[in-house]
Amino acid sequence: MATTCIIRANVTNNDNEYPGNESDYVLMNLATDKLIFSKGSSEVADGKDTPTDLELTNASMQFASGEQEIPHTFLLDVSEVGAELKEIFMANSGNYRYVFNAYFDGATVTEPTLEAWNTDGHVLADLNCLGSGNPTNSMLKGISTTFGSPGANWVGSPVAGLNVVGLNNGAAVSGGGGNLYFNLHWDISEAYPTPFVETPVITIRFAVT
Amino acid sequence: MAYKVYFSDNSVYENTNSIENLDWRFVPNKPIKKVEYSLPNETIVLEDFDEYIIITEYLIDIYGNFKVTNKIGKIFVVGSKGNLVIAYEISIEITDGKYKYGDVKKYECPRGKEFYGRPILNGWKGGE
Repeated sequence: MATTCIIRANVTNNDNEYPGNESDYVLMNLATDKLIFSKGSSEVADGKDTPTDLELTNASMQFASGEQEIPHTFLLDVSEVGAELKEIFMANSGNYRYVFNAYFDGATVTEPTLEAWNTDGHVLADLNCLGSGNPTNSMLKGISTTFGSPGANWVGSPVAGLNVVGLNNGAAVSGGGGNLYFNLHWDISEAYPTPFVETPVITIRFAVT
Repeated sequence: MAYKVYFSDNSVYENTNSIENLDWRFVPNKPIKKVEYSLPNETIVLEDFDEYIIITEYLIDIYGNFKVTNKIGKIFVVGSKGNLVIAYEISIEITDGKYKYGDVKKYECPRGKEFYGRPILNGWKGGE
């Protein structure tokens, strides 16, 4: 059986690792659950039910002068009927380490990486939000926190295409498996005065034997 | 049949598993003479390399696509000699819920850059 990976999100303000603090985390059902990045509103808030398209639009970020971080990240957990929205309170540029957990149940032969692409084809990365072909301008910022906290107001790395974030300090996951951690946030650049609707894909890539 | 490994002692290891279970890690650790990877319309042959490896790439989309949780992206059949790596990148497609082989692309690169510009860190097995 090949190594598999599951993703969990810490939906509390407790900056604790997964082992020993299992109740702080929600296992992301990647087939049904969704991440939502939003300005937030009374309808798009922790503990609320699934927002409508109009509610999401009303809670979307508006372009303004300077760079603006999208302040709220939610997990739409479809298993929590009637209260599907769970805020991932620490998914931002604060000094938070244990936010997203990638658990591997065995060895990998490459370092797992956090990536972003236009589609699930994982070939192109030139959407506006990914830097319009210049990955260093990607609005998605990511950082590995497996070995330490990111620091307050962390900048991280722009994530797009081959601009990836290694999650294990250059190492593969050992045979016993392990927990890797990362944080991410979006910074909306003022360089894009025209609103756009895009659906990039954020991916964890790894290889096994 | 997926692949055969021919050893210096004239023994042969054969893997006939599905794409999901190529199990290169179970190939015996003894000098390899040749690796053959059979595809529907061609056979990839690697011979006379210092090291060999076959890896399976997995992609987990955590945002923007929620169809398959642990999706195989590609198979890489790789040989290295000195600082040179020759690799065959085999695309994997999903049809009716089953993995199938797609296009094959061959490339060369320096050792340490073989996986999207990053290294395959372990699992290599030595040539003869």
